Amino acid sequence: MVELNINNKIVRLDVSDDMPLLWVLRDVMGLTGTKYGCGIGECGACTVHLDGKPVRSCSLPVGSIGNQSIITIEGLDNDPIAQKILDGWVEKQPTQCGYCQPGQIMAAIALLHEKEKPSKEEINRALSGHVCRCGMYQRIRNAIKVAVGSTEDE
Amino acid sequence: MSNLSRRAFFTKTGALILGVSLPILAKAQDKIVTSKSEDNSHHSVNTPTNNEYHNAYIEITSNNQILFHIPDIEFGQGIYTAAAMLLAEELEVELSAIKVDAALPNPEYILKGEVTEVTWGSGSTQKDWFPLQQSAAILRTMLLQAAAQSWKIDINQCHAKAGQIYGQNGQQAPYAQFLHDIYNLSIPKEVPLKKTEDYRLIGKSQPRVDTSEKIKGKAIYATDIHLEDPSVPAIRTGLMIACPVVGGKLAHLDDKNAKQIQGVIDIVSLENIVCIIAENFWIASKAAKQLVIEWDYGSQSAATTDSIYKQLDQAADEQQAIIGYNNSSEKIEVSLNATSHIYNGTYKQPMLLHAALEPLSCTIFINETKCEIWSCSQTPLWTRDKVAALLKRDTKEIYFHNVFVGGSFGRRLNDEYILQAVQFAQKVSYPLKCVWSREEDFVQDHVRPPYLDQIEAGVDADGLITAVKHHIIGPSVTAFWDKSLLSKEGMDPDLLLGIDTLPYQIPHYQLNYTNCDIQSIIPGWWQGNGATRNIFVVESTINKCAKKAKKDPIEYRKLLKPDARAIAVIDMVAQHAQWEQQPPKDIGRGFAMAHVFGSYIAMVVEAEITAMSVVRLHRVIVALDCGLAVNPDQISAQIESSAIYGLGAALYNEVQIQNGQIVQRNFNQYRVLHMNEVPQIEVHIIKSNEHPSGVGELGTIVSAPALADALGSILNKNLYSLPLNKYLT
Repeated sequence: MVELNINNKIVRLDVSDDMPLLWVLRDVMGLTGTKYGCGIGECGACTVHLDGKPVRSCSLPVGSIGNQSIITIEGLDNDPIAQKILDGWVEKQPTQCGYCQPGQIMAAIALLHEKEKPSKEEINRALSGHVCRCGMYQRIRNAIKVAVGSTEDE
Repeated sequence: MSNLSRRAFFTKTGALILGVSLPILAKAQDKIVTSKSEDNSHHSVNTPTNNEYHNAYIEITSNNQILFHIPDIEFGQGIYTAAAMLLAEELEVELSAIKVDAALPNPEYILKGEVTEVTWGSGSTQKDWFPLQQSAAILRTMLLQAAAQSWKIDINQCHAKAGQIYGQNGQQAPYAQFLHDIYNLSIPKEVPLKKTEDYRLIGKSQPRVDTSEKIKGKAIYATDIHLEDPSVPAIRTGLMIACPVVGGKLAHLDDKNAKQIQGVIDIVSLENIVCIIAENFWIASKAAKQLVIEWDYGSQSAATTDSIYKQLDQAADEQQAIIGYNNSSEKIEVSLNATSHIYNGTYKQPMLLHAALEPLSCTIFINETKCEIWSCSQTPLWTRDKVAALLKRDTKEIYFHNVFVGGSFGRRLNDEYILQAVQFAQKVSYPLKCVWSREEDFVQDHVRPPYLDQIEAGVDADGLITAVKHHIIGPSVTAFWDKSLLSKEGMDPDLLLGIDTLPYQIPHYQLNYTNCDIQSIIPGWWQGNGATRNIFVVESTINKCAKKAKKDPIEYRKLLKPDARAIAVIDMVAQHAQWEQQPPKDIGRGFAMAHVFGSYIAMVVEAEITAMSVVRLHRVIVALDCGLAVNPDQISAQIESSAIYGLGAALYNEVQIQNGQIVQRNFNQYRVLHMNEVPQIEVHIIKSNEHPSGVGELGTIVSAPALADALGSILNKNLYSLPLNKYLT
């Protein structure tokens, strides 16, 4: 039995300690917005927040989480920074197939929690571990810039 | 399909009119509506059992909601948005008023000239352009007629706007009010479409209609299906493990230990694949480690990358068939002999993975009355019919839902994984979510096959190219995929793609082909198909001849009598790339162009090779003429996307084969471009009122030759072989 704080709700789940958070979210909780892409932390599609920091849920055993707060793409309702990011996403349209986008968005929100106005290099550092096979990286960077109030495009 | 015949058009329009859901037939319609829950984050299994409306394009519900069931699949290219724009334009509604979802497969959707329903070849907007607008215009006209009759005024005294019909005396009613009446009207044969200058939506960038659900994690992909019907058993996860060697078979399976793991439900197998069924993915993958599988690898277990290339080299000496030429009056040898100089070159292109971010995936539920499938197939009707044949059931009982998919790049043109999943689902009594690990997705890929292309290019006294003998050696993807698409003589038309529509003149071009089947791989369609291979070869040859002639590559192409649209993209890209100026120090600049899928593209790539022998991509400038640009911002996005896909592959990618197996198993072994590595990309679109033409794959098609030219200019040599990073070590 594992107790987790997911999207500000405490849940008690009958799962083994070594089960990665990704599969608890998707297969036990039905929170399918978080995606599986590689299973080894190489693509970023499974990124969620753990106490506000971006983590790869495919490689994070739930037994190691304790009482840290887990936020997924479905749990952004009360986060004003998340809203700014989503608005930036709507304006710059970096979504194509969409599969990597929840992970990219979670990474972008975590970045803005840490840094109010990240530079291009800081954005690259924070998101360069995320694979977008539709190659929308330039638009993603521009969407983050919109979210922080910058008007200059690349 | 710009030259859609009237007959094909009426078939399609007939489908439309049949499909307008009428309140009078509320029983059937209710079933359809309830099958799609309002919040589409959950899919119900209560699919309609009445087939009457399955060929509907457009439904107008009794509460004036417009539903658009689209046959084209959405794998990122933006067709849900572009197609909805075409409808909204002529139906006189806002784009946001149209709700788009995937149509079930239906033969009614096959357009003339197509072998089946198929989303490929950068073709969706161009084939939808006329039928969708015409369908919407006819529907709007009939609604106006019905309103005019009802109000006893002339149709010219009515107009449609934002889902309402207005009469000149202040009458107003929603479209839905006239749904009863339009069934009594005869269908107008043809309705004139709007003039370009009257467009509200077409040609003006619109946000994607799928943005909101995709950025909130609500978009449904094949493994996101939840079945909420309490009468349906719980859904189980089936993890696939297939023989890693083509043609191999399962020899022995010991699942004793795996079955001991709590949460494992079944372990079932077919001839060459095992499915571990468990409560969830994690338990299934733990059980997979406990399985003892012995494969009989079969005849291909010794194949290696080297043995495959050796096979190509040997085939190069075999008999060639002439498959295309543009000058029948003399032999190519005669033309070549008449030139001042002949340049030879052998181009080598590797096997490639698709490496879409979403691994293969398919959810299935079979019961006594139906088989319901959620997956992605680029040929959904074929898939449906194959499933029906496999299950020995009527096609009416097969509900194939083409849900969103995390990329395809051609992979989902093969549906063998869906048929595997169906065979497993057949063996169990519960819904089955079939998943492939990333490793299985790579190993089971239908790879872009390897090719050799031999070129003999003859130039005249001025160094201008006048005769080319081009010999392609490699597998035929078409022959593997669907032999009926071969010509009467057995020729694969894909081998000519891009060469048959060169944007400039080469007076005598002859294509020869030697088929070389490689048994250890399954050849698959890959972004840009034959054009990606051909354009790398022909554009690299042109760049080489320009260098030999000591001419600027752009000037050189202009001397080859390009047509007017080609000149326009050349000039546009040259202007935006400041081609007249020397590139900055240490920057290599490359150029390539193509005329394929009806469109013209010209690309300039600026790249650098650092002191550490690392390639830095600085800038990519593209000029594109795709006819009338329906949704310009998404056209730009498509080019950005396909350029990044093509540049990454050209620079880094090559599938290796060892012991008959694909070596690369995950993204740590198959390098793709990341945010910190991509160039700044500018896309400039020619203003045009020509029929819309293809976009989606154009960027990939010119990326390799443009990048090879840029790096070649730094390394001061001609680069004949991909991937290009091999030249750096």
